[in-house]
Amino acid sequence: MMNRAQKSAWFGLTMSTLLLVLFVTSVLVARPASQLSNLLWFSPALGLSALLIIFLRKKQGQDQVDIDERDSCISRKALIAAFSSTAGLLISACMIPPFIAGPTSSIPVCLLPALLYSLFVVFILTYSVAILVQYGWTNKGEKS
Amino acid sequence: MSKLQKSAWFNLGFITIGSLFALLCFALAASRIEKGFNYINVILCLIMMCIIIPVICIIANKKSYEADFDEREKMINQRATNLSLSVLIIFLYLACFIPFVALGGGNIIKVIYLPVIFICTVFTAQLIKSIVVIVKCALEEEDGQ
Repeated sequence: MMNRAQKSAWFGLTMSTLLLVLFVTSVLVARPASQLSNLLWFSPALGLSALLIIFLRKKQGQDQVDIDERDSCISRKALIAAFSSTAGLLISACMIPPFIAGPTSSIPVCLLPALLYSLFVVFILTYSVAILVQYGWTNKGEKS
Repeated sequence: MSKLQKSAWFNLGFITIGSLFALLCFALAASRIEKGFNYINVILCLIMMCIIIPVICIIANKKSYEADFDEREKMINQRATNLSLSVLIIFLYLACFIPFVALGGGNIIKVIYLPVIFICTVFTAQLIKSIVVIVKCALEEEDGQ
């Protein structure tokens, strides 16, 4: 049986993949840049994800340890991986466009919340993958 | 001053000087460099980053103040880091959503705003971390007296 961290990671992986697909679809379908402001309707999806993640954080069982040192170590390594990938994306997204477009060019304002959205999705995706790589992708080898 | 306080002041000074230098470079670039993708400059910058950043990380791991922290100092540093990351997220959120709400999604904004967001976010995070470390150390010294 998978432990709580694996279940949360699978949920995070599914939600972040779904959100990423929705984002790419909306960019490809809604070609005019101003239509990207419709990203705000993803906010309920993000809110739902946050609520379900909180819901999944309840205790595994009354007779089981909630989190031990190994879980803390794995979680910390996953957080480092997630923050590193998010930082890389942030640096690329902020530093590369001025070189490509030129420092005096302009971008649509709606790209700013799109940047935040992308950072959030990449963070959840990387964290979930890191958790699953360390614990294992299935319940094999994990005894709780 | 303890190693923790020296580390906080050093990091704050380093980030301040780095941020001012970066903003100055972008201001010069905005006034002088023409529009277009200059492959040579970008590749040179990427190569320098791939060399300089790992070298700085290796030196920092061995020679920085943080390398000699005891458990108490590590705990204070960890708490300060957690708080600074929370502030970083909030600041980034505000920096991205305030222009969106104020100007509207259909308007345009200068592309130079993007590196300014990044530099200000990094500076704010380090500022908060250094302030938290210095205040915690000062409070602990008062309790100890």
